[in-house]
Amino acid sequence: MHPLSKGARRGLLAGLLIATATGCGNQPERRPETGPAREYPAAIEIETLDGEATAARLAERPAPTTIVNLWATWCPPCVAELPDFERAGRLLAARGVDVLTLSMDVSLPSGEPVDADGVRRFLTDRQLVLPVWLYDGDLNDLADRLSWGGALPYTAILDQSGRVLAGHQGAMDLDGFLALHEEALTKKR
Amino acid sequence: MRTSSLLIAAAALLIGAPTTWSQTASGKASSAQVQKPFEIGKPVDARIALPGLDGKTHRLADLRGKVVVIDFWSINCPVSQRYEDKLKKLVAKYPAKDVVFLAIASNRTEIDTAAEDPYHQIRKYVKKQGVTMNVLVDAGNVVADRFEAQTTPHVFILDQKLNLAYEGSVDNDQRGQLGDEAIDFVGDAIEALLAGKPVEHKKTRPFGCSIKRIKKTNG
Repeated sequence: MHPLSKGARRGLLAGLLIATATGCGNQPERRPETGPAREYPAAIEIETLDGEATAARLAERPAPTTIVNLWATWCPPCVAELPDFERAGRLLAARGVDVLTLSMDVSLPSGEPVDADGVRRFLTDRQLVLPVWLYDGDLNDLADRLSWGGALPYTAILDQSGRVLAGHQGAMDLDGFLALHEEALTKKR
Repeated sequence: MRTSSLLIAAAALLIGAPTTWSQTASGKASSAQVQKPFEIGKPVDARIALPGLDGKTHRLADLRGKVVVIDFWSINCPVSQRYEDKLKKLVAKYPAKDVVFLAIASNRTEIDTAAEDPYHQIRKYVKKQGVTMNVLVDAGNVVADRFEAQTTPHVFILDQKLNLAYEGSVDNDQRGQLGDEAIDFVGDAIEALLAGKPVEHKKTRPFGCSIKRIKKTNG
């Protein structure tokens, strides 16, 4: 055997051993797992969902990853980040990510309750186009399901079965949303 | 008012303990800097002290013998605001020699460091709402970090020996529609502690607005 090729082989073997020893995460060449491009909603979409319906739909996602943002009309940092969330949502949808927001206006109201019409007017006034589930269920159930600490805003990345791959409590910008999705991809196998 | 800005500068020093950056750091900080989170049933750090709007320094160590209700609180968060009336009633219900209420303002956005009186927004709100809790200012969210407070409101109750007896939300009625069915976590905990009985609900999930923390340059 040629010495050089023997050395190269040994190097390859060592590399394999390292890869094995460090688990299966040592694959820098691996392409992020995303799906075919998805259409971002053309208009505001609002549905009111109870806890059970929300749980069922969170457990079966239509894409390899879903980005979900928890917000409320009364939460200024939530509202401040929504334009960037929409921008991130459009970019991610093109990469096959499902985009979702959950409004807490019904389940965690503040002062005057805000219903679906209220949320629609609120988004229309701000020229925001978002898919919204108006969450009408138990907060603790949702918190457990989404590994949410209870503070708004909150953003999570889910896999196809609704498992939380990454989450962030507190406001973010465009780069933050995209980075959170990247972080989730590194955890997804 | 010169003294107010001095109080802000002093706030972190008054803690008299290493900073708590390690909580978000890689976990490799030197052991001297690592501070354990407070646990239910265990004492909190009695050295914790904060300046109040009343111009005095409030030290936990001085509150031994009383039930201490700590509410991480906000002048801007509607969820925190919605509980003002309820807390006002609780303050009125118990003599200050038995129960002390501390509203801690930790949001960086509510402290105006550029103003002559950095606490002017908080003072205005307290006056308008008629807040009767002792309002303390946690510049740099140092104390919020020690308690690992997440939301406003996020309540921590200490027993007469400064052991953490309860942490979580004010009640389980976030939607304000449970009426008599609601569980008054804070009120029940106070009653139990005053009676020397165990607290039934020791830990519940807080819900509300996230605490706006300062940006930390090193983890």
